[in-house]
Amino acid sequence: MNLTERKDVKTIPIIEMNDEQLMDASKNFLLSLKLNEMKTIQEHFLKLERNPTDAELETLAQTWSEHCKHKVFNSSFEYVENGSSENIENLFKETIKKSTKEIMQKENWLVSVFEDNAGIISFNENFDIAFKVETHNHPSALDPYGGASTGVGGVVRDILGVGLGAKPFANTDVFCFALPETPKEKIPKGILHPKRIFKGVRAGVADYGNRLGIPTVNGAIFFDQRYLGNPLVYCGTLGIIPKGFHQKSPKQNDLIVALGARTGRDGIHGATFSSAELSDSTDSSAVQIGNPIEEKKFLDVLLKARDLKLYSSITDCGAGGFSSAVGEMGEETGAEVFLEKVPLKYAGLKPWEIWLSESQERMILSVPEKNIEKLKQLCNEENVEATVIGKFTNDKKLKVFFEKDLILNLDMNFLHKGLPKSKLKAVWNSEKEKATQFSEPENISEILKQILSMHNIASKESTVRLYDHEVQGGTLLKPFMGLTGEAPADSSVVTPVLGEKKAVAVSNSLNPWYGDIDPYWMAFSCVDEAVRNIVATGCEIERIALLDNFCWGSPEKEENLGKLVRTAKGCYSASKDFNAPFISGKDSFYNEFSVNGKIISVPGTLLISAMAVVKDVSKILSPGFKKAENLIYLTGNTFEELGGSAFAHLINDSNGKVPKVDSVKALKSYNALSKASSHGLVKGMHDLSDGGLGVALSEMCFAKNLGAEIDLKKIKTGENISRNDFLLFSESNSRLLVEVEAGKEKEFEKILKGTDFSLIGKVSKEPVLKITGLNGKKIVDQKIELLKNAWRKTLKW
Amino acid sequence: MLVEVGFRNGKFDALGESVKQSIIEDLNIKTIEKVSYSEGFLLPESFSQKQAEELAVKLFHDPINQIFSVNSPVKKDSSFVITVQYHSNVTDNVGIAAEEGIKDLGFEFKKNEHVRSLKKYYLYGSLSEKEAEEIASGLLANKLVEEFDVKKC
Repeated sequence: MNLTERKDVKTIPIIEMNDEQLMDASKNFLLSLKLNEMKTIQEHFLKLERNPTDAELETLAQTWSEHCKHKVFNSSFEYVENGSSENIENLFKETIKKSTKEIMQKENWLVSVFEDNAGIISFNENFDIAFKVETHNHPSALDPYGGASTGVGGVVRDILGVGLGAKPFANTDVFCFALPETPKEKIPKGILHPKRIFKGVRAGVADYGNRLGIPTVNGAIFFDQRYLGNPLVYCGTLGIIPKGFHQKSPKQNDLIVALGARTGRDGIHGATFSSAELSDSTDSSAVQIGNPIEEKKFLDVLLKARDLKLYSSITDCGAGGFSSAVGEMGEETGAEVFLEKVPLKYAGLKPWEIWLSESQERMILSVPEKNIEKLKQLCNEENVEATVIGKFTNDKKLKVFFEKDLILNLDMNFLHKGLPKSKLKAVWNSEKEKATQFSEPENISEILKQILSMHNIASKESTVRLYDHEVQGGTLLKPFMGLTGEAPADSSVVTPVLGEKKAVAVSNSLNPWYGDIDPYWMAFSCVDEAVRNIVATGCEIERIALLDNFCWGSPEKEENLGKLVRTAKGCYSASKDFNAPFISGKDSFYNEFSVNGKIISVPGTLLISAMAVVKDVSKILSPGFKKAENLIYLTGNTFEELGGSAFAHLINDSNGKVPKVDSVKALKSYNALSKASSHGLVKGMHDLSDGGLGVALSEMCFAKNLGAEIDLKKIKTGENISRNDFLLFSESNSRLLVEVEAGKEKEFEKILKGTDFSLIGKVSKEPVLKITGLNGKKIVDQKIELLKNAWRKTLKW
Repeated sequence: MLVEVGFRNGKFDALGESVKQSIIEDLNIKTIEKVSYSEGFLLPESFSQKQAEELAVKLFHDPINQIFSVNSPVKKDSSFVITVQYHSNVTDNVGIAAEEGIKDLGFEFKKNEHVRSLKKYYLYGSLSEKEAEEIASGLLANKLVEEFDVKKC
């Protein structure tokens, strides 16, 4: 079938182009394609003896974008670590996916991994649970409110489009910003002030999530100046789906139905744009505007239609719009689309713009013809527009028509499998870890207050309270707990099925400061912390599943890739050791910006999100201290590990040893704690992370304004530690603070036998934190109120 | 035809108050005394003054907390007024929703007639033009998606 010439469809004469012209074309059309990719397209069309249309070239660029095909992770690598070289055939398959594959051989609760919009695990006999975390960094840098809200909208649609559709029941959001106090004159041209970005992003997340009626239950905010021009915005959603609904496939002759909002010029080039670095000339067509009410309407329709089995497959219109949604859905069949049928917001869109537009709040369904009337009726009831725009075929071709003219005719096989594989070089050189260089500060009490008020540690309550974390009524362990409602919880527990004994725990962990020293241990620490946060719920845990989210700088730099490979290796080891498989993930590259011609790249940032099935919700513990005279135990082992710690950053020391993980010991300790907790011996549990013991102790005191008396001499350490500041602020992994009911120490210690633990003090009625140092002198004697004020003031706006 | 809806004097204007706080804390402009926020709906030219008033009463405003005006500022005596609206090529969901509401009330639109929404911020206190400009570009409008206008009163 021949393509038709039209005024509004351009043909791009690529078969006559030389290398330079090919690259010019890639740049001018904002395709973000590399030379070898452009050449592969050229060869393909040479064989077809014709030139591609703009729609065809745009479709290829979108489908082959980093955003959609994860080119870096699927590349082969020559990885050089400290001079010794190793070949990696496919980074993703040999790290992240490998541990999942290995765990799948012995576990049967993984329902769908890495193949759909989200990962799915089994929840109970009737339901499965899906989880997905997305990034929306570049749009949020340009329009913080719009970028963040469409980030939430997008990940919610991922959950609606996983399997035959899951019902979203919780959101999580994690942000990375530069310091809100950055002086105005230090902000480069074309970049919004970090405080403005922060306020816009959190308002966007709150508005979208709240209006959809999905509770935002968990998150984190991390600050570092390297996020100045390129903030990170991670949006995650959990959904519940009845068993048996995870598989989908469109059948031949099924109708292609566009559902939801109309199509405009919004967000054209989002997929290719997210694969390029930011500059101050970026134009507004990359920005999408969200409309949560529209999404809420079709959310309700879709769940009804799903239960009536009205459609055979579904996916969301995300980056790449119809091109991506129909192209992916019809990969095994083929598809024909008639663009003039697409309802538009306004006239004047070129055919390729309709095809590629990233207008928000749209879904694509494949509907057997016999069900279309019923579906339309359901949609009418909720005021949702549903339009048949084409049908699935059996010729494995993607054909797009506009007013009867064929404007796109691509082979599905070439579209999805034609992308040339690249070989990348990655280099990582470890420097020998140096011991911490600074001397012990005199006033530890003052240091504790300063650490509590550091941005990364300070209370995020002013942000969290903007989010509705209660809607749907299933949030059991909330972001802030305790009698005062001021003690931060390590993870959240939500029950998607009201009245069910089982629930879902969810937590997030990231710490790029560890990655500055060694990305391998950053990954390991993140997994350990995410798992530890879930252990701190005190419940018996089964089925911990992980999501990985990489936000990196340019993949064209060998050292960036070196860090990437080393992080991925850490992910593999940690996931395997903790028996916690990755079920889904995401990567985002080119997170960098230029200041006076100098490129500043974000620190390689890995977010690990974990979810787990909690066996019995009646056993949930909140983190704070409950009763005076109860005993305070520290489990795990303390080392002189201050590399990348909050304390080291406060003192401005970039040296120090990064926290490591002994996963065998950690697991043994976690299991023993869960057991002790299920025996009712534990009254409160809180994990030690940023700021170490000092911060964890303070936070536990905030719950009920109780105090604590602690003796640092009683801490069992993994090596000889002779300094109070090290004991108090080391960030060694796998440690938890545990409140044990007075008089139950023997029973508790019996269960914990064979693990590392120390009885370090007791809870006191007087609201004062008293810490005795190694020399027997009191080094901290602070009113809880003052510590709390220090912790709450930094971000109280 | 512009319908504007603002808060009655003495009623709590949360958005205005929060903008004022941001002007003081984030832009360090301490002379700001008050900010009044109002929402505007630009109706097509074919709508009459009377129709606009009818829509303001039936659709746009809450008579207990709010007042409205048609084709005139809803607040007086401010030192500046900043108007912010989306570029014409950016989707305006509030405008679209307003249009649906108007149609539901039985009004008809001609082809290519639409409602666009806008936001107005009335600034009170002794401010320089430069400061007003800074408030508009540094806080209230994002030039990438929005256009703004600063008017000295």
